[in-house]
Amino acid sequence: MSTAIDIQTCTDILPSFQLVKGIDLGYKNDYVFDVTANSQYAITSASDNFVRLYDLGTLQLSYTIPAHDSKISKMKLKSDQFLFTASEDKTLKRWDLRTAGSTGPVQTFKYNKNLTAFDINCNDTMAIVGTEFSSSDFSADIAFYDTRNTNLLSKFTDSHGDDVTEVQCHPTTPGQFLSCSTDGMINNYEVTKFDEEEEMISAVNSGSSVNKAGYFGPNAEYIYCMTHIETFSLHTLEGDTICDYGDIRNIGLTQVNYAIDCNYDPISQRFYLITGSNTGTVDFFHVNIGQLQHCQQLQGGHTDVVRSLYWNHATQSILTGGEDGRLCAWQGQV
Amino acid sequence: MSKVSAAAVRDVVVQIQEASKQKQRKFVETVELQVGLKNYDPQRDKRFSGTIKLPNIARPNMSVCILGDAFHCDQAKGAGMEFQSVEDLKKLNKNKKLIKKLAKKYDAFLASEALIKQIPRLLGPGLHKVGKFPTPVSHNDSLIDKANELRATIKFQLKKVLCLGVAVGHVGMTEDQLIANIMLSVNFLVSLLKKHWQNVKSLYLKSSMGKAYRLF
Repeated sequence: MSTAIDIQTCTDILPSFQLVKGIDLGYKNDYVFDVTANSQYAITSASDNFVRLYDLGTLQLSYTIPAHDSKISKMKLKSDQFLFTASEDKTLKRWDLRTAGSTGPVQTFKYNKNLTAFDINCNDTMAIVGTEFSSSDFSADIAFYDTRNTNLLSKFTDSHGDDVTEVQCHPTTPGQFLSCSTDGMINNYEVTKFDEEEEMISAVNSGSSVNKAGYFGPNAEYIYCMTHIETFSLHTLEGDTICDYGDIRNIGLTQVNYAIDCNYDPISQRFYLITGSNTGTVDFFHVNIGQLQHCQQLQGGHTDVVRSLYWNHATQSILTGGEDGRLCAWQGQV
Repeated sequence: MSKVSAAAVRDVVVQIQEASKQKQRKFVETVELQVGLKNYDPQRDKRFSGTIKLPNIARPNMSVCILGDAFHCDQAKGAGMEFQSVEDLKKLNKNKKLIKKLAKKYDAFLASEALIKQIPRLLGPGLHKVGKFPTPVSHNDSLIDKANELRATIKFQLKKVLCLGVAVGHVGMTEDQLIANIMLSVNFLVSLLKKHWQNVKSLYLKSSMGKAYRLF
């Protein structure tokens, strides 16, 4: 690990989570990619390009939505009503969960490149998508849409040298967002006029290929960075490095093969790194500067790589989805 | 446990270097590791992409420019390294053409910690587009060491196909240096694959102009 990261075990930070139910996708060897939930449904996106809605109470499959013609790169829930999916079929779609997407998407945003990432800003006025690097025009783009009418507002074509892997909008500032890429960069922007030359506020060079990055903190004043070579670091919005945890596979306390995600709990103001093993175990680490506290483990639910985790802090319920094609529901004693 | 031994790697390295000497080229040939994957689906499995920091410099000809504060500009001057000060960058006046020219002139950039935060405002996305945003360097770091670190770091990325080529050195290195670089690269790449060696179909080594020799 990077210079002396203290690894500890601390079992009173989180309750113990029990597996409530595990559901299989279907007959073929498909993967669950993303999981999320609203007040009614547990929701998965899978490698068969379908979005599935499961009744949150019974976890029975309620609806199957044939969402896209190619790979669903990302799925995010942006309110209790609206679900969004972006795909390599070059579209971003908005689904109304009140009709369970049964009449198709209520909005479709189209671009001319495979979409690999997206987010919707905090007041649902703008959609921002990131694309794959295209060898036809040698760029990976960030495109901006007006969510009130699906019009393309603008695009940035110089900001990344390779595939955009994540776009995260700031939780309270409508024009602020970050994008990250396999080019190793995390760019933080505040857009008002869509001037690519002027509106990049700061940038962090991870030194490798960025898998995920996002804001965290009580005022979303920090940025986390997870790379494809399983290194993890924290930064300020201005671009300083707060802590570099190095290769998390060296944690040693438990079998960590990869990072699943980071999760910020605004109630307790705690920040967590969630990791997985190739055999399906999930571990939770409470993150402090210079220290990782192992606080919980989920086992017995999955038998293969876990790709996504949804955590409802208020109810302490968790959903996980993975390459074994399973959706698992876990409950912690509140 | 690695399925490739240092002895096996040595055999191939010797052959490659021999072959390279036999037919001398006008440039120093790169040694490339070619990884063929199996049981891996680029459409579903997690991305295989990143950088490897090698024990020995793989790209000795990589030109590095320091974007330095006063301290680092002095250090760069003393070390005979190319550099640009804040004033030099400000003089570019965010002119896209000039910034593009700077970006093209060097393979990589180092920037003083204090300066690096200003780069987006000083230069806009010019360095981003070509994948050359600087790596930070502090006053405690040696510029030469940091530049050499960049020269010893290689990128790899699998894109939609099941084979990956990674530059691991050049024919001018010693056998031991090449072996060290190759062993580290192989073991690191395999460690990132879910099924480790079960995901590797083949490994080949070759010099730029030479034939490929099978390692695994």
